[in-house]
Amino acid sequence: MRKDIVVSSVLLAGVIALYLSLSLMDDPRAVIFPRVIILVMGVLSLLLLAQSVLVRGKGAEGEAGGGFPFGRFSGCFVLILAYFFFMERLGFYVSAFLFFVVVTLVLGSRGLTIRKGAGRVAAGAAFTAVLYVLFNRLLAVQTPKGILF
Amino acid sequence: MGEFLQYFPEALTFVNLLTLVLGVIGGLILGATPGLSPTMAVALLVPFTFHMEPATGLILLGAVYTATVAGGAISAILINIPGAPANIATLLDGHPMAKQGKSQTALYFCFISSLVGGLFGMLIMVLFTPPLAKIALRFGPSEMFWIAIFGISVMAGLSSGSIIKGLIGGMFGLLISTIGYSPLLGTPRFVFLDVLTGGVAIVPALIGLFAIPQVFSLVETLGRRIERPDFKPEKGVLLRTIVENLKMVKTLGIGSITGSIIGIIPGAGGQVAGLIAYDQVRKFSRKPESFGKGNPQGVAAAESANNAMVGPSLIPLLTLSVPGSPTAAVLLGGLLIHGLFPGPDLFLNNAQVTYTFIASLVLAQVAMCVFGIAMSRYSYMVMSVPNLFMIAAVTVLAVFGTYSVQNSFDDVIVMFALGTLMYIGRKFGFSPAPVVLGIILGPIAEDNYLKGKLIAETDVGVFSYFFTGAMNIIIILLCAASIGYSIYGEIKAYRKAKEGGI
Amino acid sequence: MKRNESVLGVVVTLAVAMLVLFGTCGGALAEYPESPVSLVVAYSPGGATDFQARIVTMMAAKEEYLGQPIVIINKPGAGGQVGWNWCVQKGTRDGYTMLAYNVPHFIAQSIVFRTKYNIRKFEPVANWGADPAVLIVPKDSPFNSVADLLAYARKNPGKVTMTGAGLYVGHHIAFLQFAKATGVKLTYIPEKGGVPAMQSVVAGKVKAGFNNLSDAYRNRERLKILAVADLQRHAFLPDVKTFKEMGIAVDDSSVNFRGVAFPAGVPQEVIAKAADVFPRMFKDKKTLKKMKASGSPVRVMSREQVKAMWQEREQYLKGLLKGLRKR
Repeated sequence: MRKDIVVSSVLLAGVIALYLSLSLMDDPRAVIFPRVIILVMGVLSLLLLAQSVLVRGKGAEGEAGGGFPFGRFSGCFVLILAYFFFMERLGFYVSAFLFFVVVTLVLGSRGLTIRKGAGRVAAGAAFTAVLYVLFNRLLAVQTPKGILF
Repeated sequence: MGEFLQYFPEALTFVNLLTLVLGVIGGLILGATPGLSPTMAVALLVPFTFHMEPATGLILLGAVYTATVAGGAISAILINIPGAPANIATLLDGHPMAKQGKSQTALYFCFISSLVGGLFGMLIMVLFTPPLAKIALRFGPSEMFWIAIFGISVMAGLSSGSIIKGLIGGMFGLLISTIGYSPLLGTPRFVFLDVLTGGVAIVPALIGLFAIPQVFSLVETLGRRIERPDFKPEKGVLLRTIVENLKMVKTLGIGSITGSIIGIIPGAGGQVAGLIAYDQVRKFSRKPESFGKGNPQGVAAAESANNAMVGPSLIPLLTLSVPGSPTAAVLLGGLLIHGLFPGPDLFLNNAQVTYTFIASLVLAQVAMCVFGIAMSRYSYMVMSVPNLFMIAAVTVLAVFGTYSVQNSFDDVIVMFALGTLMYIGRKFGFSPAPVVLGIILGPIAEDNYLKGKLIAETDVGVFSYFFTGAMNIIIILLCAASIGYSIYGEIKAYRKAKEGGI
Repeated sequence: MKRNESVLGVVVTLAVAMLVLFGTCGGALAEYPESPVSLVVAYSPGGATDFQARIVTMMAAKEEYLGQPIVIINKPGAGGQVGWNWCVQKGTRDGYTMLAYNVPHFIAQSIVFRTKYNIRKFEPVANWGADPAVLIVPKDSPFNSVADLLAYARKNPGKVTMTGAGLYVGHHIAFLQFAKATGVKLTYIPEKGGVPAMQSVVAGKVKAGFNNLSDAYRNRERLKILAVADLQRHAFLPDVKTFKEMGIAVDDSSVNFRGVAFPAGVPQEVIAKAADVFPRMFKDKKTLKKMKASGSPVRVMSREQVKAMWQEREQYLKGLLKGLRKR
């Protein structure tokens, strides 16, 4: 299983880096527990490596790939980051509404008609409105404030 | 028990019943929102009780507590995101059921088992409060440390697939729990970035680990043509499900008893009750391999345990004013503002209010089941929401739930980072459940180890402090049995696979 | 898919109607505060500070006080450091971010740890409560007095274990003072909050502890309360002597004062308005009744009094904690 060889190597590298970073902590008592966990993790990673090298070729290799939609995925990822960026500036509810609309329009751009687009804007508005009434008005939950709410 | 029956009718006034029903419905909705844990919901409602009669206010809090615990299962089953840490175990079999088009049946199983477990827990509380309160006090640092180890021993079984990967996930969770300032020593640990100063809180981590991978895998499916099962309201399944569910005596029994025991232990929190019960039921099952693929027994075990925990978790609260769970701690505040000081005299001085409160909790269990089942009929609507809308809505809810826990934008970033990592991890065969278990159990194990060590060094020495005493030995034996059985089960499964020739 | 998008029309109309309905209520005022004020509590919900903060602010929405509700925001972590650091770093300076302070906790932390806050980074508004630390032992403990405990501790140095709510909180300060005044070696075990610390003592897992007077008072049936760390005896426990009466030099430095403050940098008019409103609000009859019912000791102090108290505490704690370096 080549996948597991990759995982266990990455894990081992991480474990070693973390183990070295332990020396940054000044209270020896604070180090006990993380050290034990890191050591156990190291042993487990070695086991995984051994298993993946020894039991090669056994079992089906994950699910069928089927082509990873990289464009769509990275689009979504970037939009979420943009959403975080605007959340503290525009306020929670406005940015949530905009995110909802933009995400549904961008990710579902194939075969988009005006009618469908309007439906998505409406859905976004309804969703944010329900959130607003339930949590802001009825339960007084604090969210980042912005230009409107 | 006599007093309980005497005061029972007090709960039945119109205002109290109305409060109860509204509390239950509201609680189910809040519980179903990812990120709004029972603790949050009760904390949000405490201010509303300022202006109510003590009994009415407590009924509201009790009803919301009961209903949010069960409500968290709704989102776990329907959208694969647990409403609260307690519902992780529900998701393991509940969501596969929903994907097979049996969401309504899964929810029926969930609410019926909740009722059975909930009533069992309340019965334990009404009958055995004084002796159990004494037991609750016996859990000191050494016992709590072993309890945490027992919880960790469950991790291996939670990963669908490789045991090693399950354990690695668990260790990762334990490691995450050490980020931030050590509460006992004040030393910062692993604070490589500014956002990590406050450590990783459980609820943001839970949302990130479950919701974000879910969002991304929905994105993956967008372009593909996948045969979706037809989601229609299922007819005539209610009666069949009730019969089938009540026949699972062993499962419900294990769930209820496990949940009750964990509820009594102060500080362990019911968050792990469902997972431990799930693991036990699977170990005792004749077909352990059917779990994780939509076995209704998994749902029944998890939910009966979650709700059985509610009653007993109030025992240390009401008699010793020691809250057994984070939610009970918030509930304590609700009691105090009405001048009800928990303690042995609570039942003497304020018998009426106290017993009305307990009676309302019993009624809330019933109401939760009835309204939950009624709402389940519309679950197909959630299942047929277009994926496009689901992606947007789940992301917004995840951010909302994370932010509202402690109004921290840092938490949102941590949530998203963990979620992205988990999404990648899932591609390599890791599951989120052991990670969350690690985050919950890490502090329990470490704090109690350090505290126990401090105490032991002044007294009998570390070894005899942790390894002697009846309670310690019982829990250690349980740990050994749990680990031993996992290994035995693994060997058995391996042999079986060998005979079958894959 | 199509059907779902058309059903949405109805939902939208309903939702917008609700929005308009709820959006219009709650009129605006010209002067501070125009909208709800956030009060940051650096401890988790359900703790004594959180729960008292909720009681003392419940009347804020009344016209004679703020005319706006106060919303509690919990930012727990690292014994309060997370919440207080956040207020200084990210809290707004428009008067809409307030914080609940705990003395001596935040002052002691600012001395021992590298925190973003100290008494000059906060602008006090008013104090609502004061909860002295008390020395408690389990009900079945062989110690019936402080003298018993000291006699045992002298013979067995380090063997008396004592819990408290955490590091550098009031209980810890009381412990440090007690150990310094008696010259006896004792072992301090920090817990995550007052409730688990109390639990350890009640269950006999440790030999003694320092805890809040109010919590010890509520649990007095299951404890022995040996002494109060304050200048005079407390009305709740008139029979319990102070350390001073026993000739042990433990004063009121560990008393847990709770109150509200702004992060420094808020306009003077806003501070003046709040400093006028809050003491009156804390003395509201309804508030006092709830505080009494819940067994929370009240001590209302004005802005000037709090300022003086902070300064005095900082001076003293700097001496007591001198050996402990900044980390």
